[in-house]
Amino acid sequence: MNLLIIMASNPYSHDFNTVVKLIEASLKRNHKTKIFFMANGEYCLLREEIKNLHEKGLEVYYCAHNAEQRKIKPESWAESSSMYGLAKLMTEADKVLIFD
Amino acid sequence: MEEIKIDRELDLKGEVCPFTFVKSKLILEQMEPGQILRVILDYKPSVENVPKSMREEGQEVLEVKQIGENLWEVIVRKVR
Repeated sequence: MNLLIIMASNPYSHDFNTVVKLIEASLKRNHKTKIFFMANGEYCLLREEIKNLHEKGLEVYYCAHNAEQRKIKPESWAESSSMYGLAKLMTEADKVLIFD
Repeated sequence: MEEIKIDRELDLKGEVCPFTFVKSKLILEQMEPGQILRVILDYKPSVENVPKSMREEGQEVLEVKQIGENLWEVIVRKVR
């Protein structure tokens, strides 16, 4: 399965813990797992857990515009994207979950 | 480099995502295949994503170049 998670909640919300556990479970079942950070979800890119999950196979995308607004400079392992990129990811996904 | 003949120019200074891509796409849709659009941008995230989105749409990005302090041009040939 191709799972896409859209994360707009900040990294100190209960959503963040839910998302981390959900991704771990999804990767364990070898699902293609992608996450798109936007709005205050961009701050999650600064959390070590996301980098660790990326190293386990999570594909990480973020809205470059929202990152610029927040002066966040994500590391190169996260892919710069946009609303257009998000639309494309959504059409490719089997399931889309949004945390806002 | 051979001078590229520009058919249309779109000044998007002051515009940010997603309008930079949306407006570029709308102008491109009005043009004929083979014609060339030059887009002026002053917003760094758009300079990364407008070319990427254009390529994903099947258009040909000829050039992405910084032309001034916080100013870029993106040159796109309409393919389809």
